[in-house]
Amino acid sequence: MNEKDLAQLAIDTALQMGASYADARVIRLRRESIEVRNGNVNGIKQHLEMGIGVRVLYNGAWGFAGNPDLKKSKVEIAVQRAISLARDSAHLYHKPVVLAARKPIITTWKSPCLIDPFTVPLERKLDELFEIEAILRSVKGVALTDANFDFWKEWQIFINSEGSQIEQEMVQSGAGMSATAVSETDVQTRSFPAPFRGQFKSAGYELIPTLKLRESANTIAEEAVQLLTAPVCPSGEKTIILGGSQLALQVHESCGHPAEFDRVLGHEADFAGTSFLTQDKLRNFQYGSEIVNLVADATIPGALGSFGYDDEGTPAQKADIVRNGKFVGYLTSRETAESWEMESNGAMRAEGWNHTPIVRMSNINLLPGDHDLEDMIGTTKDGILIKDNRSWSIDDKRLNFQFGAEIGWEIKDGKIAGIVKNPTYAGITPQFWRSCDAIANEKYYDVWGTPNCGKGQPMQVARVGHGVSYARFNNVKVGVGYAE
Amino acid sequence: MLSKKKAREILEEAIRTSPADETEVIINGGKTFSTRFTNNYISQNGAQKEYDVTVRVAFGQQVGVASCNIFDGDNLKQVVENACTAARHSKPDLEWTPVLEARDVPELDEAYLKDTIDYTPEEKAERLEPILKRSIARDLTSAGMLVNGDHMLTVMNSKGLFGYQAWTSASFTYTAMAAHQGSAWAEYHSHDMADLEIESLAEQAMERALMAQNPVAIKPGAYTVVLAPTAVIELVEYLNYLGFGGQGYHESTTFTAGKIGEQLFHPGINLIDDPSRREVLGPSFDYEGHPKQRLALIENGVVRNVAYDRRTAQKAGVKSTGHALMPPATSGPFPTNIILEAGTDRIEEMIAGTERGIYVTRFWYSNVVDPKQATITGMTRDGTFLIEDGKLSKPLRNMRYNESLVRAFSNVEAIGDRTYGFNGYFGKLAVPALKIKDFIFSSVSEESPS
Repeated sequence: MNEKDLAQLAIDTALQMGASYADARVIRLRRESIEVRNGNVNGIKQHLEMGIGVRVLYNGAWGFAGNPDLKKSKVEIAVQRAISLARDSAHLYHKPVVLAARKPIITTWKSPCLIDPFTVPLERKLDELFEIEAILRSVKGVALTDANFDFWKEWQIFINSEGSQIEQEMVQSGAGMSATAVSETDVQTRSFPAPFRGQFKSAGYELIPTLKLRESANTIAEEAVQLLTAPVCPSGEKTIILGGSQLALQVHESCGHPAEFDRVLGHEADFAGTSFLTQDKLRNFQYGSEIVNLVADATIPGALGSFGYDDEGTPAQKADIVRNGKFVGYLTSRETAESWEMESNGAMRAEGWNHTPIVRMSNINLLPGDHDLEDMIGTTKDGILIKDNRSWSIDDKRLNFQFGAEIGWEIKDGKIAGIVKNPTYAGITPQFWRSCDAIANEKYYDVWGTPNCGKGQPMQVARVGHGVSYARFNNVKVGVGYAE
Repeated sequence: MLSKKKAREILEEAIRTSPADETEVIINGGKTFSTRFTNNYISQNGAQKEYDVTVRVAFGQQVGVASCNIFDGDNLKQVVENACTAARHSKPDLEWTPVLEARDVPELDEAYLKDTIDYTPEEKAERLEPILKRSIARDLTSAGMLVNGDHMLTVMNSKGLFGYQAWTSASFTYTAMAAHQGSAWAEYHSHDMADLEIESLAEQAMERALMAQNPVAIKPGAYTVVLAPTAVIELVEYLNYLGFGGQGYHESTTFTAGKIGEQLFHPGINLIDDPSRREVLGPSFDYEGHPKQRLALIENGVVRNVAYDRRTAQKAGVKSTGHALMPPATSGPFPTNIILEAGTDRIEEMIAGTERGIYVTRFWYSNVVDPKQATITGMTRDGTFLIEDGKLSKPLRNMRYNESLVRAFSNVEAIGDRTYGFNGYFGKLAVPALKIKDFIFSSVSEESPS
């Protein structure tokens, strides 16, 4: 049987066994990870994976089973197990699950990809990495260097008992590098284009040259060395300008996660936490200043958090989260949306075939404003420009945060005064976003891929994105963690 | 569970198939049955089964790694071929260290408990039912997860080394939530479902959640803290991560670099790695098949050892300690079965002996601020209380800490008389309660902003 027939078999079996709803996803995944470190091959790993995940509603309760074996008999066993688990849930279930209505759809979708990264010879990939990494190592004072590529290709068929049949293929690529300088008392790392393995997009190998790793290697290696002897970021209340992946992570932690409706409803209370964006605050809460506009947009071609349909067959959408500073919308699934008489905005996603879908971010974007970065710096009297995340921490309601970054530039009277090391800043989410008084324009805008977002029990890792330019915030506590 | 006999056959077949000079094959995986409850009902019941085969081959110094989650017939051949293709097209790994010679690899007895893996979802629902009913009767909201599973790790190389270990696991995590921001937490992990005293854990959390309502703010600053074992976990995990990996030690990125033999901590601090201890039970060999033995990381407050795999051991001119992670293990080796040894103090006595301080149930979302100073930050969560005159006097709003682990483990005033086992990011760990003086809190969270 082919994958489509197996998925259909799972649905038919589930319905025969009394399920009121069932969906099945068959997935085939291929991954490649290549890392060069300190002039040496540090690891080349290729991974293949396949399996089926079956989700059923039986007596109003969910059951889920995943199985890597795509034989007919094993698929039937997975369905039986899912039904049995739902039955065991049902007698302790006080309110049957109801799914928001969704019209069935039969379609296919592919992410944009010009060059399939799995067709590019390994030798070429290694040559490029060694060339980049050699530039990093050529800078005097650099102790450790690395450069990496990551590629991902996933094919999936989704079928549900309402008649939907959706085939999707997604190719994603990522690349990054870092240089580290070490002294007896200090370690300083600079990464590019972003820390934690770099920038990721839904794209093929054509992404790699656009990231300009080779062109940027010398600069970041020199910065790593300079940071060892740079002054520590001063402490006190200052204006900060956040850019690139640091602003992306700020959006991820303090907007994306609290807007997940399952957190609001308590589904994550035992692990990831709840949310300060409680239901009474919807359309009734000043999340940020009037220039702050945040959207969840799964439709951006090439962004890491984009897809055609979520993992319960809802089409990718663009939905407002914060409009003119007001909190106006959540990320929802069919179940969570129905509980508040809304429609799902397509945020239900699972890691692979072996996990049940949960509410997830797609691309949560801070829409660009109308400023030039030069003007933002020029009109800052006493501030720090902060880039490239090193550390992140936020409470379980997503209010009290503290972030650290790789590098900062002190701004005095509208001019860059020099680099500072160990920049940290802390705040309370709505106070912080209400202090935002300038956002840079589209010229500086990019969608940063975050390939490692953890949530759920058992924990799942999602690949999401965040579109940002630069944003300025006032009266922010900086130098936290070093001053006390 | 993939039996030892079947595992050996698959590994032998993979080794036979490989044309490489050296080949290592690893299979790990198992089954997980998780019952998750939310808002006082079972919200998610899941069964997952997953095994991966990982093949690392070397032609001379050219090395490749490939893995796959299916390893019957052609798929097994394919994964070997993929590793070989990667190796043939790679450049030499100048730090490649030959695979280990054949030797006896120990296997722990009684790590795989049939009663634990056979514990059914129905039994779990029956066990949870009275807890959830009590929660509803007290106007509380309960969320958590009760999980059982089995796991295996088997390793073989082309020199004939073979190791196999199967073990079971059971875990319970529980959050009780009361009105007015009251919440409390309990968790326990073991290889034996019979160890999980979920009723008493849940009962205590429910009582604490009621006590935790209407938390008040206190001024940030340095306080004496009594940390429940569930709070100590996070500190010990980062102590391990920032201090005891052999790769970071020799690259001078750890806070311990060059400090083996130095007294960095309170003399009562003893940190060891030992997979044979019941609280942190796991395979007594690593992903290279190297046997693990008890490794003293900190002895009476003195840094004694760091963890090595064969690559980092060769570079450092020492022997592997058996702490290789899954290939390609780009971050090097780490201890994975860690115990902070118990002291002699009961947690009730720690509280009773504190004139003014803070009781922390758990820390949350901790992260590194400065690796060389071992400074980390994080939040308190699910039950933070002011201690006044030896008693938990009032609930506190959650607070952010910024603290150096070297300072914190030097400022220890009391060590709990019992260790509790938990699952961590790198493996398992067991820790007691701790009392620490001058622990630094830098801010207080808002509970409900307007």
